[in-house]
Amino acid sequence: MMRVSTSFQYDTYTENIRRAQSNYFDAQQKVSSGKRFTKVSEDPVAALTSLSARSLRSRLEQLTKNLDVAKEYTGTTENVLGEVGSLLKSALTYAIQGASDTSTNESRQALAEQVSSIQKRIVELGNTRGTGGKYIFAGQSIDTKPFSASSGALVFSGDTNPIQVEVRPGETMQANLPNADAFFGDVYSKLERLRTDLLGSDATTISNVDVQAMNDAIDKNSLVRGQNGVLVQQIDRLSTENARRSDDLTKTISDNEDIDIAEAITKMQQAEMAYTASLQVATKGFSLSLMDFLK
Amino acid sequence: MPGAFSGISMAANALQLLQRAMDTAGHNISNVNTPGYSRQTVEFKTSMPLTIYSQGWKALGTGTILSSISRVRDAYLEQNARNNAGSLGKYQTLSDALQQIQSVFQEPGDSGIAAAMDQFFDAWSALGSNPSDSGARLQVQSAGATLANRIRSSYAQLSTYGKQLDTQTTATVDRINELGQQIFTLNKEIRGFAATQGTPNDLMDQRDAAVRELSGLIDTKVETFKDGSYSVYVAGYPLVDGIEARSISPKSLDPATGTFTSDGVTFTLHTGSLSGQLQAMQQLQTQKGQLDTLANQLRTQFNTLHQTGIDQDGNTGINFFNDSVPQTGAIDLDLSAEVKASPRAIAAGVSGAPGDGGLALSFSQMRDNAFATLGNKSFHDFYLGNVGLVGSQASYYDNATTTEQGIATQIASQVAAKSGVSLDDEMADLTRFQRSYQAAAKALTIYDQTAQDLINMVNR
Repeated sequence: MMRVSTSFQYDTYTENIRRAQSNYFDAQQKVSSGKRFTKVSEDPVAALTSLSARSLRSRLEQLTKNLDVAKEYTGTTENVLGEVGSLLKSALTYAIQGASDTSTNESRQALAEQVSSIQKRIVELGNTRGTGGKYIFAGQSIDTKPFSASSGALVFSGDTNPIQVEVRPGETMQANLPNADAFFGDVYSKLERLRTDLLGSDATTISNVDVQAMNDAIDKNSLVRGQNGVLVQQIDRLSTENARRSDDLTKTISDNEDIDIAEAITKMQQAEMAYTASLQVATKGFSLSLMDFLK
Repeated sequence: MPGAFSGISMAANALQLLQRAMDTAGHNISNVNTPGYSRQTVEFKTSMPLTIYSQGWKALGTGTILSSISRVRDAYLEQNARNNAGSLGKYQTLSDALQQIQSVFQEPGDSGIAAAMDQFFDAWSALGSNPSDSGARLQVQSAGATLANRIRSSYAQLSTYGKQLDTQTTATVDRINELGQQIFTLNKEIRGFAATQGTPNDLMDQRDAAVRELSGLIDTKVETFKDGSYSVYVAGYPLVDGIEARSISPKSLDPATGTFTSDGVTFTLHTGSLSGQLQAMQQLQTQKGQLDTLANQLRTQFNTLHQTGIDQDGNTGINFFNDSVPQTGAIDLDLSAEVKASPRAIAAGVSGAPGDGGLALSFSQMRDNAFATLGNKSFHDFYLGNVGLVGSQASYYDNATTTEQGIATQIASQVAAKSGVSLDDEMADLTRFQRSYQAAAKALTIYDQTAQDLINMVNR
């Protein structure tokens, strides 16, 4: 049997009440905050996992925003190449018409006018601007108007440097059209040749050279468009992948940090019961004394 | 043959002694809430018997005398309590300190350095991918400022806490010296008292309480001498002996080694809050050092690369973070004056072309680089490593504190069972002594009547 001293008895009651109260408060905190821990020391491993996961998630969110930049470049390129394609098809038609024996000098002059307007359009397309007024086909010199026509030739004032976009951790993608100067220059000079031949009413050269040149340009355009299309798909895939990984990380973070609410409420109720019990025991204990029975 | 009236003096003696017993119970009751008080008990023993002859020699009882009034106390438990007080003091202090250090870092959360670092690198990634976007440029500027600010303010908070720790430590040493003085004075009183007036229970309780408090502050060893005085050694240093009470100088404390020195001799602390405080100061110093390393490495890496870039106004050789030789650490980390003045001073590329984000992308990718200066870790991992270390140490010392508190409760319950005052016990004792007193008084009346009868018989 253990001897129980009065102050120890009282200390124990108060200590038990204090502990039960603190447990109850903690349990309440957990339910109301929904978090398993608020300090690293409460669960160092989980806290560090969470911090790393949060860091990666924040990075992926940024990469997804970067992908929007890449999407603008490739999307605009896709539209421009589409239009270049149909312009070239018109030019091919004009070339075939111009090569025909039925065409007259006058009609070839008219066709040359048509080709000239196609050329103007090509220059306009080469100078396409995106958000913030940046030139899409100027390389890194995005503030400089890249293309201008000068005495039948296309002059390029941009550069051929890549616009690099970070699309995955540590990985970049070239978002602008590579060698845009060569591409547009080639198309323009082929059209110029056609226009000159039409003006000169040189049916033989048109037939022997220009029709083929137009076909070549169309093929080249399709090829470039296909390459750009691959990028468009890749960007879509990366967006989806980032979103999925981001969701996975959110789940990891939640698994790590968030409490199971049902379990937490049960624990809170248990703590409440323990608290009530400790109060009742103390009330009983405080009121009992030999003095009440001595007369 | 005993005299006819010896019963009267025997009863009178019993009345007197029973009153002392009731006084002792009263003393116990009065001190029910006095910390460190050991209950006292009165021990009676029979007084020397008289030898009488009645058909042979017989021993006749002559009543009671008080054999002792002593403390109920267990020296072994006291020793345990002291050891426990030392460990508890140390762990409690360290646990509190590490919680404080941990709270400076505010992790995990959106307002910590980790989140600021993420945003900083993300901003570079955004700028690199869209270098002409003035929003992205502003983002780099503000994220850089936030990162520098958080590192700087964490450092400042650590410094403030360091000053608090300094004050606490000095206060602890002052208390140790005070307790030494107190024990020395009590030693003298106890020696004097014991020589002339018997065991000074209450003074001894006071001295034990002082030693117990001292054990909580510093490793304490006690030697007891025959004359009842204590010699007290703290961490091996003779704080109190028969001649004097010495004192520790707060200036001689060395947090790096956990020692103090006196007259050229070094004493190593192992337990007690003082040792915890020194360790905490050391931890704090380490964390401040790590922040310095982080800040300087950010400067070195970002500035070296940033200087190679060209900003929006065509300038080159600009620092991103403020810098000087030698580097100044975390205390004043900030953006360079140029970058602070205008986001146009941020270099995203090396060519000067508005679409060149190559340099910004290098900055973004720098987050994956491991640096020898950071123990072959990336910026993020280096910082998280430190936070994790503080966190797990805080957790360790929390647990250790809980354990020691459990042990303390256990010892306290044992001490209380042995030495604590129980009001019920004392009430029972009081009642018992009261009854005995009543009986002795009654006996006195009867002896008195007997004597009266005898006198009357003689008169007749």
